[in-house]
Amino acid sequence: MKLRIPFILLILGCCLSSCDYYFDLEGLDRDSKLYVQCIAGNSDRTFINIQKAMGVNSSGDIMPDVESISLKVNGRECAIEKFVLPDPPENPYYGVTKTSVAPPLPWELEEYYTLKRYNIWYTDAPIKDSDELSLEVKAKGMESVSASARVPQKVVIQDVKVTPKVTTVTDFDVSYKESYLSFDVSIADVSPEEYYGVRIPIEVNNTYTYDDGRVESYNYSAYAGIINRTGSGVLDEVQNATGDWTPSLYNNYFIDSFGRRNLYIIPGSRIKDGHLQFDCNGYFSSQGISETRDIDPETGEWIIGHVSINTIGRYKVEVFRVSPEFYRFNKAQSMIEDNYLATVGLSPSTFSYTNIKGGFGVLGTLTGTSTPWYQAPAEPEQ
Amino acid sequence: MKRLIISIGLALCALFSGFGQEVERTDTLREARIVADRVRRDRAATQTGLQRLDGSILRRGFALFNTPDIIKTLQMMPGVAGGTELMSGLYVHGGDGTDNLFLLDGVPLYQVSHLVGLFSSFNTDLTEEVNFYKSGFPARYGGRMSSVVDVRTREGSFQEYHGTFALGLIDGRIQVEGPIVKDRTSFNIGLRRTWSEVVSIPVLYYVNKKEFEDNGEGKSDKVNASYNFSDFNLKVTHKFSNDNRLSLNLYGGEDRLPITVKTASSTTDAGVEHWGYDSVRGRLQWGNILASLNWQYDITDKLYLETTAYRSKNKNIIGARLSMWDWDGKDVYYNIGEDVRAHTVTTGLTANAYFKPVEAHHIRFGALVQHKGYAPEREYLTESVGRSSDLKFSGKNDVLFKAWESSIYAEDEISVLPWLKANLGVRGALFSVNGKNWAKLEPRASLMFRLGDNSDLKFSYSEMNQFDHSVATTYLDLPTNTWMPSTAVVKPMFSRQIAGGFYTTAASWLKITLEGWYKTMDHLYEYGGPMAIYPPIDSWETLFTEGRGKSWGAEAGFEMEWEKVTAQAYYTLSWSLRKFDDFYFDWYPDRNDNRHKIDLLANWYVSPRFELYAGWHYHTGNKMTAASYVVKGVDDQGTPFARFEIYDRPNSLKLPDYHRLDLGLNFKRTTRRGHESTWNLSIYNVYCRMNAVFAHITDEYEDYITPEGYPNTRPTGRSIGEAFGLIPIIPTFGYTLKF
Repeated sequence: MKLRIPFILLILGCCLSSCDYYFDLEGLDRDSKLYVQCIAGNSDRTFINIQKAMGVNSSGDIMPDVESISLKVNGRECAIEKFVLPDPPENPYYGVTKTSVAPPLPWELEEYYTLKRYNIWYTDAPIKDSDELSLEVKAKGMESVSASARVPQKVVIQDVKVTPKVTTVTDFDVSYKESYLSFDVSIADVSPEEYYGVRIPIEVNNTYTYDDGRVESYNYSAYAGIINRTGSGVLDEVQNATGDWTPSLYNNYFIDSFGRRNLYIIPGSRIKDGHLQFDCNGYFSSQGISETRDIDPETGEWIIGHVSINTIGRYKVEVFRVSPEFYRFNKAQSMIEDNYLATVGLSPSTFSYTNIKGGFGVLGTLTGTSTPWYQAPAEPEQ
Repeated sequence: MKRLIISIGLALCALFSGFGQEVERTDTLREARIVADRVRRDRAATQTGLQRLDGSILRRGFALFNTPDIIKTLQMMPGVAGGTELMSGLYVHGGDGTDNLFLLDGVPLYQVSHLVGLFSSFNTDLTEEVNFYKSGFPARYGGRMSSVVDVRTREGSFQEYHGTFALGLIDGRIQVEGPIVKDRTSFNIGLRRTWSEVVSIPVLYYVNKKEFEDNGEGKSDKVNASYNFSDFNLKVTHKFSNDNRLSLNLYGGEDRLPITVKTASSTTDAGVEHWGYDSVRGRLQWGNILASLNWQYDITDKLYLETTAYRSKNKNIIGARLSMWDWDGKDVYYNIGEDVRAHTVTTGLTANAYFKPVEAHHIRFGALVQHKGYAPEREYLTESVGRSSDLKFSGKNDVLFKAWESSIYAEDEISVLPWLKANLGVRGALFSVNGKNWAKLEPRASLMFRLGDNSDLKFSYSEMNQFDHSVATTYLDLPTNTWMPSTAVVKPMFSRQIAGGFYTTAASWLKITLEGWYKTMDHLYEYGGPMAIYPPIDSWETLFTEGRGKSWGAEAGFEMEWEKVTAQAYYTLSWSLRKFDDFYFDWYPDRNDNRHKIDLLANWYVSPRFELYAGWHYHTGNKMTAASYVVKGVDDQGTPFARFEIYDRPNSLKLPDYHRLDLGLNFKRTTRRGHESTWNLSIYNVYCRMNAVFAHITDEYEDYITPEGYPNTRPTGRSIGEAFGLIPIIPTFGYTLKF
């Protein structure tokens, strides 16, 4: 009996034990490395974001002590400056301003405070097609990193065809008609070995005319989202280069000249006969009347009115040729974010990619070609 | 058929009449003979990496839920990783688990597990023997690249009726065999079924009743679900003469999981309360159906012919439907549903000949022709009724591949010298699909050097191609997975393996096996898209990325047998790597890269009425992909937090080591009618090691006392792994009656 009681207690203890437990991260004790992101070739100013990648088990100072940065274009050293973030605008609310066309604005104000603590550097040295870049960064107490890349040649846009279309959208328990613009962009010299990007900048003016004669006008600029409707074909494999994963650096209007917002990347092998076909997720020009409801402050009754909405939109098409490194880096990050099962070991391994030797991040390049601004065609009747 | 039914009826009568009282002695003698034969055959085999298991040994081992299991037994073998705990994974010499050729009486099976891998599809009551090849594959096998599991079922007795009846904790099975025409025709039939509904139905009835009592008619939630699997095997053999026999083999196995959840909700309009139900209905169903006709004929003393015609069908179905109610319209106004079905059908004809012109040459040759159909489809529906505008939106993605796979082979087992034997062979395979032809030639060679009376040295070389690809987006053994053929885009998987070993009977009670291998694998495919439960049916060729693998290692086996005790000790030291350029620029560990694996097994036959079993299993933890680095930011208060994570290498994190102890007891007794009955008590995972099934990385927290004196927690700024174990200690019992 003396032996039985401990044995029974042991069994009961085991049965009641918790089914989750903590363990040390064996094999993940890593020394900190430099994390460098630099996307060059698409603007007059080139930014370099330098961070410290710390082992998941590490703690301590989160910023690297940068000793030197060397960016060479075709072997010539470029002048590098530390970037000082200007004060934020007064109304950083999703890019809506009552001014004329404004640049895209930051997603949230708090991102600003985070950005202020980033190590951001820049150069205004001109970088153009076919330039050879080499980057080297040294930081105190950390392994030096280096990378090289070549700026791809510009894309030649041959033709742009835009067709207004209407589709029925089912959003769980509501279905409605939605109009959208379907694009067919012809580009020259598409190579299956190269990678391409597309982005649709838009400028929109919304004018609201109320029953009581009030008129409100809003201008905003943004980049259209691209979606893959059934049958749109080629963009099924499009990689949306934006997402929550990315350091908000690229989503910030101060340095958006990277051209990363709503940039969709696609391998050349997926572009058939030089035609880049895709649909935008909305329409940039429309007219309509809507009901308004306000509460009368004196009587507390609903005041039902009407508002006529006149939306005038413009758009243009930007097509990029992007470096393989830039494509692979984005795809890797996107796959990681999009596969939760992989992060708990229940799905195939997630991607990992960097071309920064000795560290992480990417030295990516891209060059873009833009069409002029086009007026969005009138929205078709639904 | 009439005779068969009568025979089954007679056999069932025998269960209650003591008809087979002499069987126990016969079985004992038979088992002893089989064991002795096994020792001789293992020594005689030229191949490396061969494990032979006869049915009696399988049935004698540890049995979770009183259900002996072939796959679980093979998982204990050296050089084999089991993958996720309790699943029927079989990762042989670094293979990916979908590259094993499972043959049931020579016919390929696609789905080999029940209950998401908890039980394998093979009923050991009918199993004659299992030949398990990890390397040194003879040329007569082909179509998979990592292993061959050749399961042979027993012919029924031509003399008398007998069988086995077993009750486990969640399933039961019966096997009956006997003559249809004495000495001419026999049958052997086995049925197996779970009765988890016996538990789930009353439990859910009680839950639903309680809900009804609490909330009333029309306002209470309802849940209905029941899982069951069943399978049956039938083998009917007719002997035209001692040299000429025909067998009909049937196998059917299916898992079913219907589930319905109805949720009551209300809305109030104009002071009137309306109640209705939203419902979710799901259905999972998967299994195999197989039929084959086998003819064996000894044409002369030196020439033997075996021909098999067969049809094997694998079927997976998973579906879900959501319905929502509407108070102002009809009862149900919104439906959304999705069904995914995958069918793989193989129809084949194979002819194998065994020719022994002289004692020094044992020649085998043959041919195989298979027609294969791969037909996955996904159907979805969205409909809204009773609204101002009815809406119906439905679609279907499906693909159909039809392929021909043909192969011919020849192999010769040559006694070159008294101390040297060789098995040389070659297999040619042609796979045709949608106008694309893949032609492959696979050389095979094994050499055996006899070192005295008790020791052998063996070497082997083999190449294997695989034209079937398991398309899965997760590592979960779900019926969402489907099979697809090699196409113009997706190349056949290919493996090349060299192996060598030393085999000795060091003493009458001790057999030692030492083996080593090096294996490369090309054209492996892994899913490289965003998270998806259903495999992408129409874009699978592009969303799966191609890579390579290599594996090497050494394994040691010690098999000991005394009068009352048998024991086995197996150890494996191995490496398994992968290289997928789209994932990572260099080689990285496979998720089943278990550096060390140890299996210790012992049976103690204490007395004729009492047996004990113990097994301890250990392997180095599996690997998983985890973020190794983090880039931190600071919030507006200056507090650091993880801004984003960096995955520097796939499978960078090692999970905690796996180990567990199993114990089993068998109490045997003889019934009043002279039947052998056995009560079995099995304890799986005796010390309740919560081995990790999956894990993730999370922030580490520490306790501290706030300035106000209250206990609280705060992040340390470091990370820690959190493992989730699902399988605690599982005691089970069962009853088996042989009659």
